[in-house]
Amino acid sequence: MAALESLRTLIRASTTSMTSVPKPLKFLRPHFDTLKEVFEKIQDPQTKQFCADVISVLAMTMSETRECLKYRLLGSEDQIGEWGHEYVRHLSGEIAADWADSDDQAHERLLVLVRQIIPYNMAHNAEADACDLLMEIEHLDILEQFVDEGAYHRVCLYLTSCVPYVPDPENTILLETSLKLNMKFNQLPQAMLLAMQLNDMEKIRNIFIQCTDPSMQKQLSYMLGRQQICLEIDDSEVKDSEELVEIMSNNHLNHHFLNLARELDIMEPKVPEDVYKSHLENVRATFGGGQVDSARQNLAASFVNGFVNAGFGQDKLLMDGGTKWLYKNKEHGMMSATASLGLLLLWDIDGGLTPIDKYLYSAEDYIKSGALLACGMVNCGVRSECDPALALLSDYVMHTSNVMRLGSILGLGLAYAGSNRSQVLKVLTPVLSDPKANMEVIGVTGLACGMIAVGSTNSTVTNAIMQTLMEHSEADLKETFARFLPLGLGLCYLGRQEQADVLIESLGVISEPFRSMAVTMVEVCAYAGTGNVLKVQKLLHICSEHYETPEKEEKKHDRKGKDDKKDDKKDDKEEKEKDLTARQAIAVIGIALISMGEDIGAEMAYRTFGHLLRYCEPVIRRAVPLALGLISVSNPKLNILDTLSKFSHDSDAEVAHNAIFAMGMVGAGTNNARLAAMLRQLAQYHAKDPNNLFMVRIAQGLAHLGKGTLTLSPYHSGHQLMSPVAVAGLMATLVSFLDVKAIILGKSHYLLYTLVAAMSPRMLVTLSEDFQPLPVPVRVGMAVDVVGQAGKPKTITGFQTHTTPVLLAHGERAELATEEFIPLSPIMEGFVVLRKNPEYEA
Amino acid sequence: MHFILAVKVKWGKNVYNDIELNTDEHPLVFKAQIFTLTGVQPDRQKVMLKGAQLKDDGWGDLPVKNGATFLMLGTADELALEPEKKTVFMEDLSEAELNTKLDLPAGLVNLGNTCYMNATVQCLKMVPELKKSLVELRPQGSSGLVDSLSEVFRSMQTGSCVPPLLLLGALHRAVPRFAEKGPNGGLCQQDASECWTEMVRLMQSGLPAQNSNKHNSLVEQYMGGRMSVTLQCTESDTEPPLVSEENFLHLSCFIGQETGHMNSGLKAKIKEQISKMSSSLSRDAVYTKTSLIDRLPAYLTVQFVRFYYKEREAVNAKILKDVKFPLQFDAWELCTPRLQALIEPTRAKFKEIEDQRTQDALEGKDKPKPSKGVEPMEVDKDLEAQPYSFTDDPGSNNSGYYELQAVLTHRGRSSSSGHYVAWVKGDSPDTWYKCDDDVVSPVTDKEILKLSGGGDWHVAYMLLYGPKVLKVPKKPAEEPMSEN
Repeated sequence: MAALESLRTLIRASTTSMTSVPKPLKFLRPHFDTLKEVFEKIQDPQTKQFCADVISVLAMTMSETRECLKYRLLGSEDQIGEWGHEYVRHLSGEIAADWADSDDQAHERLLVLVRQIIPYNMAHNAEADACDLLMEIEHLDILEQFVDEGAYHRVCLYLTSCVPYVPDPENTILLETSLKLNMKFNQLPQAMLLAMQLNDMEKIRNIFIQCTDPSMQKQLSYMLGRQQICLEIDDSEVKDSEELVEIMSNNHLNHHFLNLARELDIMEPKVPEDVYKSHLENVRATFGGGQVDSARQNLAASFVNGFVNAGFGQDKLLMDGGTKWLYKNKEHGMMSATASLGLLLLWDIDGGLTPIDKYLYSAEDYIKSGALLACGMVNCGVRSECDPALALLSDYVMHTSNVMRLGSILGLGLAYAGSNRSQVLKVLTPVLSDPKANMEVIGVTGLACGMIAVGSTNSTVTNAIMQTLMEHSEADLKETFARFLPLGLGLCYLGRQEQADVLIESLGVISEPFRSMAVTMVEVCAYAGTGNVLKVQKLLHICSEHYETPEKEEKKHDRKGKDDKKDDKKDDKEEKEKDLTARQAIAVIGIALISMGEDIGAEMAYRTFGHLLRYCEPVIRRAVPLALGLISVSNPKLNILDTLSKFSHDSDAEVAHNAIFAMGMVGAGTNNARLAAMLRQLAQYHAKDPNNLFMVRIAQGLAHLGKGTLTLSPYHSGHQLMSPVAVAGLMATLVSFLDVKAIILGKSHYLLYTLVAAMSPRMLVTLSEDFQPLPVPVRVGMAVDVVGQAGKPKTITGFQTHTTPVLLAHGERAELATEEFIPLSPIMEGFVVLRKNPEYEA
Repeated sequence: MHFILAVKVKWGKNVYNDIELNTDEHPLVFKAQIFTLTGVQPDRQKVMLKGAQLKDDGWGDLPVKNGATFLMLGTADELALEPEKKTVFMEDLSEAELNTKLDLPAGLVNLGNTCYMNATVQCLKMVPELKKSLVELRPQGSSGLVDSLSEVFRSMQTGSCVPPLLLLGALHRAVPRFAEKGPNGGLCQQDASECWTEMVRLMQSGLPAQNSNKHNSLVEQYMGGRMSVTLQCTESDTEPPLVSEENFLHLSCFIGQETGHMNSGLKAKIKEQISKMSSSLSRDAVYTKTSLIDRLPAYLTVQFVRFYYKEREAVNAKILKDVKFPLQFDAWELCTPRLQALIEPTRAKFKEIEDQRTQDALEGKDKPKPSKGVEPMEVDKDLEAQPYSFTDDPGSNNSGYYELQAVLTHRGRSSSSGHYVAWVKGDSPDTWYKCDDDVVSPVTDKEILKLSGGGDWHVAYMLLYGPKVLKVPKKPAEEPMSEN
């Protein structure tokens, strides 16, 4: 007994501070088995327990089986930490392993141990270990009891950063736990972020109503506005509800954006040539230029003008030149040119609709339709209680002219994207079953419905689209615009993960060629941004199916059989092959869509795409540039740009088109000089190919989106939140690029405007508690990953100090450079309300 | 029951508060109220509330409440008008229309190995005087070469691609060996230089000279030069030099071992050693033959003697050697002292202008100047072109300075195979057109200079130089002032 006691003291004395296996144990190792034998013989329960303790510690170094745990359970239940850190870690590992193959009774016993381990971990800067253990045994609920003020922050950070790496439904549990913790410590902004990440309206509402501090309410409203969530609240629930609703509906966005523009001195409108910089191209002065207008180049100029001056409310082509420019475009070109007004006047509900209004009186259907679309775009992401978009556009939804219908339907889709307004959907859904509508109108309606009901699982929309899919013949569904119907379905279930299973099940009724495409589409949308590895693997499987190989085998078989039979089968095969390619294209984009959320997944996807590009069918090759664009939207990473640049010279025209567009997407709104040089060089290379040149121009326009103040990235708030509306906009654009020749280079280039849904200013505006812009110094630098790091590490590196409002590039983070104020939101992005620091002394 | 409500109306950034609204009255009354406030005609007003528009026929089920905010859209501006002139788009034009719009010269269709002829015609078209007189030539109904050529030139002016069928027929009739057929019935490729020579020869008889009694034909007048040839016997000092005159239509540039530049190729021909029966020595003696130009034609043709007959293989083999040629050519060294004296005054003027310009450029360094591309155009406006011929001899060159007008190239290894292409100068500086049969495309100076040979790329075979026109400022005194 005494011997054991002294042994225990010795071991403890040498282990407390060490993480490695201590010396005394080394000498005990040969006696491990003897000790076990001795243990069996000991009768006195107390002595037996002591002995068990010692064996347990020894087992850490010796045993392959879980003897450490076994003897721990037999031992005395005193302070676990006294045996040192390494011991606790080892024990945790064994508990996790044991948990899986033991029953409820054993679980109870293990839980007792766990309850000892967790507080020890929390007290010793090992929050990550604690979380890991609880995740393994799926008992995160215990966590809440043990987290204290000092640790909760790091715990939450660790939990949220684990989300992309755990399978569904555990990821949701992690978020919920983190949310609870934040609520416990009254960290409403973080809690709100998590609730938005969960996309749980109930929780969002609760958090909002719980908040009583008026400034904090404003801050929360700004955050909700960024995610385009507008709560229906009234004064009975929250004070000053009107003001808060106004913030949530983003009515201030235009005002603050223009403020930023004035601050940066970029109000002067730019013409497309300012972006093309063709004087830097090494070609002779435009040859015979100015004499003939090229409809395609003018169309490109319309788009570029719109993209570059987006949101600024002034330009030199449309507003100054009057209608002259519109008539320099042809037919559908006129529509897109007029619609670019919507881009120019983006978010300006009060002042923006009036300049568009006069075009509604035009004699030309295309111009009217464009004006309708423009009205919709102005309202994109901004809500007004007068609902001008609905009032103006709903009359044209059932118009006799298909052109007018397109403008109004897509306009509604953009204006109410993410709102899930039943009033709007009621106007749109009848179009789906309208026999007079052509496939283009139906497709765009499906898309618009999907955008409005994005991520809502709204059954009205899914039922209506399903109905349409069932009613149409196989031939109808082969039309290129049919692809937007499943996209509409998918958008409804965006980010809803396994909730989409029911819908996928019901898609089984559609006949095969279309079914697999639709199923894949819904699936990828449902898991968008989750980083779900299993889904990515499944998609890769789809991509890796080569359809020639089975055909050859088939031939070998058939040579033995009859000749006519062979022909039949071959036809079958070919048919199948052609149809399934649509599915593969979706799968490729899906890989990007799922893995775009976190960096490691995106990196892996990038490498996978390299293989796909090299070895796969043309249809996959065409989709890959788009997917590359999607994993790095508005983030011009060099390796991605280089790959795209390589494929922008591809001999397959569609690969080249898509690669060029993707380059624009990757650099969207960054003014990236390297990209600009690449595109100029491409413009030279493709000078004689009008289609590619068109793409280059569009890409140039995108690269200078909003003169470099806007971003298309769907991620915001520290890359944590994915805006479903933005994803919807990007997906709509990418899906239309899957048939680039027929859609974008054909007559439906207006679908490029779906990008509007993804546009948002990449700025940081600081506001005082009474709503006024408050210029303060901030440090802006590259964000540092601080997950799992002890202490208070620096969160940014290589920073510069600016005065707000400032632009934030991808991966940049800001922090206040003054002690005078305290930000109400921990994430310095978008709109941040500042509160005076009561302890500040000048 | 009367409902009189106070509502707000928003129009753009303006908000009008407390407008009285009576729902029993016609909506037009309300619109008229708004008209008085905003000046927007009622029929141009779009009044909306809560996602619905106010219709002119009644209030319908609009949820009008006290204090509600209406949104009014509408402008008092003029409506957008359609421009009178429809914009013409590149995509809608046929190739021919596009060519005229872009000022591209018309192409000629290849009728089966007739690129040699097409290229020649394109080059000859670069002599404006010749082109003008051919186009203006009244058709004489005959199907001679000159007539058909004039026909071709006329149709080429419309800008569309021309199939020169008649011309080919006429050429075949005039020069039967061009009609030679290959083993499988197609026409054979011919030597473009021969075709050039033949065409020029045929035109000699068809076109009379203009304003000149010195020459018999237009071709001689503008393209023909005169060589003064002196034969000096090297073996006898007593024998007087024999001076004779030779007319030429082109200069030949022989390509020897050392020939690296067209100038040296041409100069090599000035002094030649030949053996000839000497009358004074009554035996064959070595003579030095000095050929110098006594009259410079306005349009000087230079032929590179690139082909030589290889007897063993019985083909006209090509010398691929790189022989550079200049875009600006100075014929000074090839001229007789008499002619040199004659052209001296014009050359002095050229120099003067040049000096003036360099000085201007030096002085103008500090001045803000328009960008480089615009400058020459602007300078040209103030200049006046001087005649390039001697007044007593229209069609001659009075300075010895030439500018390259057209290049006929050959690609391939022998003259009766490969492909001939004409490269002609455009109107604006640095613009050239590559006339590859029916495909005409714009190219740059640099690409022209790359035609000097040395590889399997197109190699210059015939060059056509035109006169460099002296441009004198109209108001020399004021020009520098105006820039300040």
